[in-house]
Amino acid sequence: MPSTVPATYSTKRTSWLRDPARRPGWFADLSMLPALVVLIAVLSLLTDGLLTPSNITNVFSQSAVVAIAAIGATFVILTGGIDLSTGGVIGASGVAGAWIITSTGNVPAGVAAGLLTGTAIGLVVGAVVARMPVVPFAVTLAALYVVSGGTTLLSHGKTIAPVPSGFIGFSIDGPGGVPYSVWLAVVLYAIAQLVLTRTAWGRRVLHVGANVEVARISGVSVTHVKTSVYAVAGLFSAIAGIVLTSGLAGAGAGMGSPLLLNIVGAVVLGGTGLTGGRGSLLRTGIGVLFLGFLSNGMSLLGLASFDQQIVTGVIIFIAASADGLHRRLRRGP
Amino acid sequence: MAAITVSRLSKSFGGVVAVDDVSFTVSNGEVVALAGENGAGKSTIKNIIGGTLRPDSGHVGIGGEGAHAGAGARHSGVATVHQETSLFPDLTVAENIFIGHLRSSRAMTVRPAALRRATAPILQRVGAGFGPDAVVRELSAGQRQLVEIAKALAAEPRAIVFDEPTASLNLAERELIMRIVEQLSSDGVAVLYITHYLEEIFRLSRRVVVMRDGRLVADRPTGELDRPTLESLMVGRELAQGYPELPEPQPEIALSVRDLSDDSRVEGISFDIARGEIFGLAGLMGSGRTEVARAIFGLAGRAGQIEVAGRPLRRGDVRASIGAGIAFVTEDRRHEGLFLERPIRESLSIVDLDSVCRLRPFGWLDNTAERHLTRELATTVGLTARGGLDAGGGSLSGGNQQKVVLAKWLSRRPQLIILDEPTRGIDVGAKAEIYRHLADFARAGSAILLISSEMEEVLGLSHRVGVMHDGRLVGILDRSQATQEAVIRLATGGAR
Repeated sequence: MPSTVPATYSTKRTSWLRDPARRPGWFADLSMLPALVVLIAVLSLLTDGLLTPSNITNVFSQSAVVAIAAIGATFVILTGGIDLSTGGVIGASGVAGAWIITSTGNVPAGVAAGLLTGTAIGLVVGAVVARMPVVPFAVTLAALYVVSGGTTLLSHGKTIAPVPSGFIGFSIDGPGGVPYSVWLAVVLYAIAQLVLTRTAWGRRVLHVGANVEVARISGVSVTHVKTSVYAVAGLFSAIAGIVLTSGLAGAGAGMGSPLLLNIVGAVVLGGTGLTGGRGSLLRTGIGVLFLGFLSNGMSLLGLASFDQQIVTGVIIFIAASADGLHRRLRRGP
Repeated sequence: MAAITVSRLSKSFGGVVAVDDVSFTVSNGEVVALAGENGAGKSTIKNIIGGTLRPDSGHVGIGGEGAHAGAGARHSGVATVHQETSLFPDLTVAENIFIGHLRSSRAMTVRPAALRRATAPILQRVGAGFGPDAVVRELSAGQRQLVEIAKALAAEPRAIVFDEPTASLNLAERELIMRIVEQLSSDGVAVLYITHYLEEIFRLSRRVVVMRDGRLVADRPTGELDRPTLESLMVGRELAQGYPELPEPQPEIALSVRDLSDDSRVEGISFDIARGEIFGLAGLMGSGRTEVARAIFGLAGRAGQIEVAGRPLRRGDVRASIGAGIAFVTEDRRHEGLFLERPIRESLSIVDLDSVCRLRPFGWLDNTAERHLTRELATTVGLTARGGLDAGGGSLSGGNQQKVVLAKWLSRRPQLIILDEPTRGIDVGAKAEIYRHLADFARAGSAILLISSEMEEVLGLSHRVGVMHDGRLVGILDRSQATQEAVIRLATGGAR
């Protein structure tokens, strides 16, 4: 008879806060929250009006584009990859959408065209990353150049405008005085977090990043997972591109390029590891808000743009090392 | 004089006590064996002595000096030879040995010639058949272990801790390692020797320190112990002796391999395995056993026909192999078997994840179903996860990690289970359990392909034994013909 030793599942009853094994998964994702709270506290002492409803709305609406694109970037980074083409795809999708909207006046068709453009580019990039022996860094860097150049060429280097005022209103009006773009970002974060933590696909994304050999040997189709995350990243870049087009009241090929570092920066600052397999959308959301409040606070302080850059650099370093030190202190066996 | 003094060490991780008030000493020139099951606390003791872990209380004295922590260990004269080799595969032997002090004293540069000169005598001391310039990636497992030992010797330690130094080695290599240990001990070096191979304990050690559940349960001269006594000290209960009784194989063929060759060295392999049959694959390290297993499972390209339950198997397609009912228990559990930094639960449910999904098109995970499945799998293999199934896979002992790698396949009721070195580096208790599970799987109708470097294990568990030599299957022996001598003769290229 195959008698077996019963599996034991827990030894002592201690508070779940003190026992790492019994903390819920999302608890670890809040590791950057203290840094965010400290940042907001310090900035609100130094400035007037940081925490007024209108300014908070302002921070959120200014962060919406980066926030949405960072969702896709998070999925890619969780597989251990990186997507540098994001800025280019934002521009391409925005231009495609704006072109259809300005030429036909049909907003839904324009939005659909934008989303399709971004997803298609992501799909191609993903297929190349998954099937060819080239590192994602090189593939997506190449894609950035090709897509940006191609968009500039097709748009003759011009900004595509004007778009209808209703479309612009998406980034300005909304229920409770909060723009639709912000509501959209919040909903997308909730969906993406659920997809990551509660679906088989999300699980496989984490597994490919955690250890691609274990995943492969256990029957995970690594090719499909990799292809799909870049397609998803393309889709979210496209959504970001459409929202940005609405916010800028028009689209230009180069409009996404300055955002790349903020997008990847928000993901990494939130604590999603660049090596893959560890992280979440909750983390990225906190990273986005950190960068958003930082830049807003410094503007309220009236800092010049170069001063802002220096301060941003220093504060990112402090926040990231506080998180790192915290992790090292907590590390078990 | 005591070279290593361990006094009243305690250490716990997140509320789980790993080491509880342990004291012992190792004298100069003495070999002390540290025995115990997986999870008994041996590794924690090793890591504290080696200076990579800080004890909660108690201290370690080296050569009469006081406590230390961190990198100080090396300078205070202890070196550790690790089980999982900690070498850089793309660096040379010389660079690996001196990785900690590569810089020459005068300049901030590495001087290759000086490095070579310093390495040569150390390699000679361990009897290595390769030079300082060999790249580690090109070396066999046994040769890498020699590099690991040479690296330890380079620091001219007064004490060395060996952690399972022979776990992945064949007989000849194992013999070589034991001779080195004997030589070290007669040179006056204190040796703490951690192993699961009891015969090594009896051959090498003067004293045995036995740990169980973090506590020291015995510290006795080896001469006073016999094998059953030592085993029961380690396990804390009487062990069921020997190998389980094997069920009778069924008439249907589960796996048929015809003229298999892979893209490197394996050629012309043909054999069948019946349902309920355990087919052992023996051979020396590097004879191509693992390559056969990987080619069948689809991890390597191949030529030749393979049929599972009468149906041809697609080439080089792991998912097709899994779909056809093949399970593959890898020899490298830490890198290919389970996620060390994700919850144990995920490593258990990964193969059969679709079965715990609702709303199929979306693949929505049913947490309750997943918990149910993983708990069932954990119980089937007798998994001991002290931190629970939500703890990381890396928190498990080697034997329990191996149980996870085995368990993840079981819910699919595989037609064929391929096991590559399933008991490497795990303790007697866990081994006996794995043996019993193999017999159970065979009884349930699975065909089993068992690869092992432990001859006894292959002979004790297999209905038939295939012997490989130099990439070819040179003979298939029935249980009645399969003796150690017959297998070794074939494996070393002798005639049948």
